[in-house]
Amino acid sequence: MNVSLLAVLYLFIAVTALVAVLLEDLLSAFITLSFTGVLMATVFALLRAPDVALTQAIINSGLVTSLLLVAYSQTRKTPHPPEVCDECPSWLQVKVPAFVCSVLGLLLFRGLYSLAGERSLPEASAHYLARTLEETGALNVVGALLLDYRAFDTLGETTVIFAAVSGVSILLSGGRRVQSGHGLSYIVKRGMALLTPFILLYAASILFLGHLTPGGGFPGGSVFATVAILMCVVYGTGFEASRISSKSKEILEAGGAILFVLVGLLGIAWGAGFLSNLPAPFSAGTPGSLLSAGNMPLLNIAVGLKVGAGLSSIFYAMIKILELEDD
Amino acid sequence: MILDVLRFTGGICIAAGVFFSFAAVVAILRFPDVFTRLHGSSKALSGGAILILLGALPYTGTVSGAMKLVLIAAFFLVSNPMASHAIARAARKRGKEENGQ
Amino acid sequence: MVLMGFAVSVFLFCLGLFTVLTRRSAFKTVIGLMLMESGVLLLFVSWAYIPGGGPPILPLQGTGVDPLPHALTLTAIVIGACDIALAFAFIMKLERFEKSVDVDRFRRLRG
Repeated sequence: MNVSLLAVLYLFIAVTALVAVLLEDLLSAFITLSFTGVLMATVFALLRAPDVALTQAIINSGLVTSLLLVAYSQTRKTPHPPEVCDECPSWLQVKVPAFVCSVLGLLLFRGLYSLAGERSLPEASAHYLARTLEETGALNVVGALLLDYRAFDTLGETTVIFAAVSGVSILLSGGRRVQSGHGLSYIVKRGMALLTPFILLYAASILFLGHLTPGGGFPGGSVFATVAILMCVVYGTGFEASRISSKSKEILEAGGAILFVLVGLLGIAWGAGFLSNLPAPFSAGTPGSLLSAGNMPLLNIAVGLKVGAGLSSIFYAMIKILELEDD
Repeated sequence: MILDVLRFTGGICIAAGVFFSFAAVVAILRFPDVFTRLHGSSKALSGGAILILLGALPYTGTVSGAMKLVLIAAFFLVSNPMASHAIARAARKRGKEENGQ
Repeated sequence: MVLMGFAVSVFLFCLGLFTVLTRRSAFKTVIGLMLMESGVLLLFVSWAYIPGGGPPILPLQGTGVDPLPHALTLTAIVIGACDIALAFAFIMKLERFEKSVDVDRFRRLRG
């Protein structure tokens, strides 16, 4: 039963990806791609990966689609180029790349086919599954992996987010006169005012309970960024900038990174390694309570601040040079 | 015994919800105008999604899971008409009062 | 089931590569990049699946699936979103200068 459901979902993923590539209208292609993202999140949930499914649904189908739509509406006035290269000979346009890609696909699949034999747990993963509770005090093994066993990789990822935010801010800075939009109608504004506290509560629950339930810093920060994006769209960029100014977003983003590094340095100060959790003086607490798992709640908050402030800064930088009409 | 009856009712609700969602898709494909498409699809989709979520209630094991489903249904009930209103208003402002695309 | 996942992920990757190679619009290039990233994510999560395993949340029900690729996939999703955002910033900036989003027109650095 499960296998046939997964087969149908895989088929739809392949079909919608093909449609997204072949469609000429870019708006429809973007919506189809977002639909592929939602289907992939469902497949991840069925393959027993709740953290990944949550993050995929929020980031890839929510945030990236809104960035897509902003970038597309920015370049709406330029004419749409033709689909394939006109100057190339006709065999080079579609046939040869399709052939090359299929050969590559067959080679890759041949390689993967021989690896899909008996599935057994590798040694490192068996160690993580067995010993996470006593070595970190957390219940979410993937969260413990991200913030304790491999916390250094998470620090590198926050650096990547910082680089992306800096790049977008530098590229889209200055130049045009900033004109604030008026947002949507009164009904949507009141409805949004009703819903926003609940969305914020949901974001906080994903963020703060990241060491107990699926979630953590990345999905939680992304939902905070989604709230900022909703405020930009519904109330207008002027309102959003006056409530959460760009300066405070920068401070929050840098504060997240600094908090992360400070918590790591605390580990060095106590004689254990950088970013160490239980050997440093962080108590494990009772498993399953909010204040457990050592420094993982602090690191979750730091990552959430970083991701939320960074992604909303990116969106704000993209949308503020758009001359919004009275909508 | 009572759980089986509840689950059967839940199954019927889910099937009805699927039918309404399918009707929403048919509305988008078959109606001639933006406004008629929006009208048909948003009404049918609100009802369909609520029915599916409420039909899944007997299948959750715990009370907290059931409360989460009710909360999701309430959230959807508030936000879907709001989104349809925003789309319709934007379409009206773009000058689609006549029979546009 | 795992083999199906591998096949679909290879298909998505090659479809993305095909899009990057053949389409002229810069937005289609970004769509191709997103498809390639999605293929890799699906590969990781399919790789991590052990038949009969439960999600990697303690207390485990039975055995658990492999949690290490899930952590790598989470990182990859966020980094993918960041590089897509940077690509869009590039496209918006290029559109302002060249007045088109046709990748065949971006020839200033040639030669």
